[in-house]
Amino acid sequence: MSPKRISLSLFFVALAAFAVVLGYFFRQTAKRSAALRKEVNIIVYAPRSFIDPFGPGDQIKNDFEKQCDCTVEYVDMGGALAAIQKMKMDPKRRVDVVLGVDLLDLQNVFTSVKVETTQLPWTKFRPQIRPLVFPRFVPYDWSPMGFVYRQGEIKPFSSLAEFLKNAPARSVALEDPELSSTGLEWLYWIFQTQANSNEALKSLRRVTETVAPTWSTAYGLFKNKQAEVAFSYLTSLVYHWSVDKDLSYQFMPFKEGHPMQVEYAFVPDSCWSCEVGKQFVRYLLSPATQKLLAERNYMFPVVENVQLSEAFQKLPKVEVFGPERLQDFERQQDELIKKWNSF
Amino acid sequence: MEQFLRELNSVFAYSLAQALISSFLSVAIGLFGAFGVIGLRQGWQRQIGEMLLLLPGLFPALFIILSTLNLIMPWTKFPFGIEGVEIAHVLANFGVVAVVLGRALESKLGGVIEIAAVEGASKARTVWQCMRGLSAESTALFFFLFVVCFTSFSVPLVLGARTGATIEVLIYREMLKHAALLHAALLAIIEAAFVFCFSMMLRIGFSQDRPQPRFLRRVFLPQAMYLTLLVSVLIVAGSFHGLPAGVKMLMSSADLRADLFGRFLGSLFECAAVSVLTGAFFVAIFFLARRTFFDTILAGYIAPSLVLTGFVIYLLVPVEQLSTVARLAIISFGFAFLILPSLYRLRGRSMVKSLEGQLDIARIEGAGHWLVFRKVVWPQRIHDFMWICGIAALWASGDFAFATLLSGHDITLALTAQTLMGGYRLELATVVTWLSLLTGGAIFLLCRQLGQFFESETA
Repeated sequence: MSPKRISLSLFFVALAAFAVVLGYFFRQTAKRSAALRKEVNIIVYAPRSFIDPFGPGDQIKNDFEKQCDCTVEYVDMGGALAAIQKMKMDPKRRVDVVLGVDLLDLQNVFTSVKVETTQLPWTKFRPQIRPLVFPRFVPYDWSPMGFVYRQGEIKPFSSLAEFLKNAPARSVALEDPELSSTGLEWLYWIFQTQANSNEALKSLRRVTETVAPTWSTAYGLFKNKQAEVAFSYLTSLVYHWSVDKDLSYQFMPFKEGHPMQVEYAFVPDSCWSCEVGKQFVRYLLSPATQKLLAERNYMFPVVENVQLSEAFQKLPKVEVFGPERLQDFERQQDELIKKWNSF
Repeated sequence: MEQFLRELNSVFAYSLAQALISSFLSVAIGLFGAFGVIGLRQGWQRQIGEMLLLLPGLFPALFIILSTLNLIMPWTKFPFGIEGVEIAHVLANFGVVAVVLGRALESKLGGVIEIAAVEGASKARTVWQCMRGLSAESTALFFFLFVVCFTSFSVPLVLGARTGATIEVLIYREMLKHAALLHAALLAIIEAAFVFCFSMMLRIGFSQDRPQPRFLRRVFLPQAMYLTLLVSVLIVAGSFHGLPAGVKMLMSSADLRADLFGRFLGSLFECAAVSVLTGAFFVAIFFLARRTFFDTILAGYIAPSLVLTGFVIYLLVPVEQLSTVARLAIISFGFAFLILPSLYRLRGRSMVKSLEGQLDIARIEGAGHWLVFRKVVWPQRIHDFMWICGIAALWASGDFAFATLLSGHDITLALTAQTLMGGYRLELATVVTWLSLLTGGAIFLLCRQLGQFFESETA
């Protein structure tokens, strides 16, 4: 066959493929339009990890849709911080539920977005979570945070002070406290546990290899062995132990205690289907959903008596500290960030 | 406000220094590489070589970053900060320079090399004269890359630490920390105005004659070919990190494969639509080719700040209420519009300039726009024209930064790869990134085949 004929055939094959693609999308659109015609429909701003193909989002959506005869539409807003800022700029835009807001961002949400109260049924929350349940913000998963490392690459330490003093220079991947809530968590950790936060930040700068804009970038660099330690979740180990079958990933429990990330859901007052939105938030606390969140989001459930896999049972027990000094921290946050940036 | 201005001052200085150094080094290394590219035989060898050189510039930011780190880390700790940003920019961009200058060398300097050969000039002297002969193209590429590096976002965000931030990163920080639309808009205006002024100083285009390949062997530098291809191969190989584990993961989940099929169709749609729209834009450009004002605008225009665009689009378009097709159509249109000035500077301007004389004569003779296009532009430039459409498709396949602003959720492979990177599954993200690039690559090759077909038809 001559090159001309091959080219022409290729062209027509491509045209046919293009037609198939168009057909597929028009079919999808028709389905979606039918779904949109249903009376009740909620728009949920969700973090990427929640709606990725392995995340719990799809399963939760399917199960919830069956029980409420409604449709759930997830929208990825590029992270909780971006979602909050976007809602601040357009407060009347329809949003029925927001997921993935961290404990340290609640004040920011509270001052910039009007939030509906969500009545919860009687729920037995875990003891660490009980002081952190608020009428407008509902916690749905959590994990202590600290330094994750690979055995053999670095000697583990038993206290943060010792780590800051003796850890090898340029060995840690951190998140930027200005751009990421996990970044704020380590800043809170320093603030809560170190008497001289100025010195501690200076020492931390010495051991830092890079400050990444997001947890995923920092952890990606660590996974690719560009750093020996990453600031991450205790429950990150569950992924490595159960999916990668790699037991070399470990966590350094420190005697000073650890901060914890608690993820919250809330219903803003720009909701249209507010009641269904609240129903969705309550649904996140059901035992089946809590189990799903633990297994697919790799976080601890917030309620008691959820059956967890063996990997969760094997995680080291760590001390966590509560929000006692949170207000002080919020007042000094900008100053601490400025100090950190000056080193 | 005072603190904002202080920060702007330092970020502007860093952006400027970083962009100047990155673009200068990319052009210098790429110019050297161009003398190797011409040694690649036309046909599959040339296509694979060019693809290898172009690929690093198409990888998602995290991949080029990881590849760069994999390349540097065995020797030394990676220099995060302004140096790190420069290294990543140079590694991502020198291949584009080598390919474009290689083509310019082939099409422009055959005559010079022939005369040099007749006069008995040494190889070193001939190569030096060719380098001088490519100064206009090198300067145009320098400007093109300066704009790319000056307005870069993802690479400085990850590798820049505090000292390598660009104005785009500062816009992102302003929006994310304070939702300061006014500050962000001010920064975007400063950025655009600066690039526009810069473009006014450097209004240089490419010139193209008919290729004269028979003398090119005289300036072929094998070392340049081996070195540039080796670096490209190392960068591309770095992006294979975790591929087997990712394939295993993909094979173990039928649901995931079904999911990915839908997103593959989304990518195919976006690449094809961007390619067709770019073609349509360039047809329009050729119809308006002789209007100086139009040329000034296109050459000086830079795409608006991505971050600001994202927030503004959010305010204007209710993304969550649009169908997938509508989202893809808007993304394709927007992306084609955003890359138009880059493509114009990269290749389009030279196409217009090289035909200027003929276009003038045709129009003086009274030929209409359509006749000029059909009889003058199409037969001579169809190959380049289809190359541009192919490159647009290839760029679209790696786009997640713009698509993510309008997609709402993952509707293409590039978006899925980005999401997977956000979890623990970097290995699977590698597979999906490659699928995405292969989708764009297929359309790129199709465009090139079509270009060759149409060229032979009109010859």
